[in-house]
Amino acid sequence: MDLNERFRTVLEDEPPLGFDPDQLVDGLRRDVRRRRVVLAAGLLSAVAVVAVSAGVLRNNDAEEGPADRPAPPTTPSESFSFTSTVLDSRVGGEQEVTADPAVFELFGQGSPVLSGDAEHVVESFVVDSYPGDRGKLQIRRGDEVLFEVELGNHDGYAMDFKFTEPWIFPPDQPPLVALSCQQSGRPDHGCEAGVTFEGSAITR
Amino acid sequence: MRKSDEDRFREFARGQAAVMRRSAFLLCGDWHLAEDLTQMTLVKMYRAWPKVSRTDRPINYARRTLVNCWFDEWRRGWRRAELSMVEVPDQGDEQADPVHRQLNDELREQLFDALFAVPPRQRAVLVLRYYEAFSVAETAETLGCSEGTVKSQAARGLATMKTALGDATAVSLLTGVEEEHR
Repeated sequence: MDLNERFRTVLEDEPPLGFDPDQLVDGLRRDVRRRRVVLAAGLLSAVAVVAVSAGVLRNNDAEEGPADRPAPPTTPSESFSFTSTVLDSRVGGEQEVTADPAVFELFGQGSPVLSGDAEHVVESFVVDSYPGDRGKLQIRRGDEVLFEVELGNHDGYAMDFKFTEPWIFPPDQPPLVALSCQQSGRPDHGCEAGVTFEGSAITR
Repeated sequence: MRKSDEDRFREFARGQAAVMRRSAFLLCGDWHLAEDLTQMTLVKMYRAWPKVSRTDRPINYARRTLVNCWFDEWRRGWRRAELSMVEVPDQGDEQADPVHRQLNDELREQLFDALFAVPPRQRAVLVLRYYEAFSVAETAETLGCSEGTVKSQAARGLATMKTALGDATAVSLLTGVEEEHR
């Protein structure tokens, strides 16, 4: 009997494993998600505090009287997550159709889950599109293009973007998603893409 | 972590949890602590998995993490108090030959005592070399020391075990093993 076998003798009365590896992994995954949510909430709170403080400082610099100052936020920070889905159906179907790449279909003039007087502080977004779709997707603030991506770059996979500095959309300029379809991945269908925005809404 | 990485980690955890706990038990001598050490190791590995899974042998990384977790626990001291409570289970097994069972229990108890007479770091060398069947080089890499240190620590550990076992048992147990360290 060699030493390895002797060691195995010591282990002969091994009790059954007291934990389930699958449950351990599930718990770890939940912990990671929870940590991200807490971190995001902390960042959002910090952003909200900075945004509010900056507004107060600007008002102080202008030496405006108390009556001229905007009302303090009634809801300092309310988390939101909403998806804007945009469909450009100019391309697709049985006929070969070409579309002007400079023309975009727009979505997102207002969000059904947010009040119109909220300032949107966007911390992250996820872009999702249909495999085979080709064209360009833009995220805009008014006429300003903040982000543009070619749909073929991720070809059906979701792309996740997180910011160190958030995008701030004033109440009259909520996030806009624009799409210019050049080739559809599905017959009888145009290009379809979704952008899920996450962040906080500050209502004054 | 990507879904594919997580699936691979899940597979690794399923396959290695019990194996790691056995190694941990040989290090610490307590099944409950061994289970804690195994879970600590898996938690640390989960965090590092995207990097670890790209290496040739995640198992070696797991053993290094396990040994380090145990060293950390050992240094804390309070765990040592628990070791004094360790007893080899002596429940009867109706299926086993009582005479064989008794001899086996005695042997196990002797070996257990001898193994835990060895200082922790030397014991880690013995477990990796003779239970895990790691090479000298792999053991050195796992423990972060030179191959010469592994050899000398193994020789000292075996000598300690020999003393603890007494001459008669030690001859049958350690013959051949010591030769490679001379």
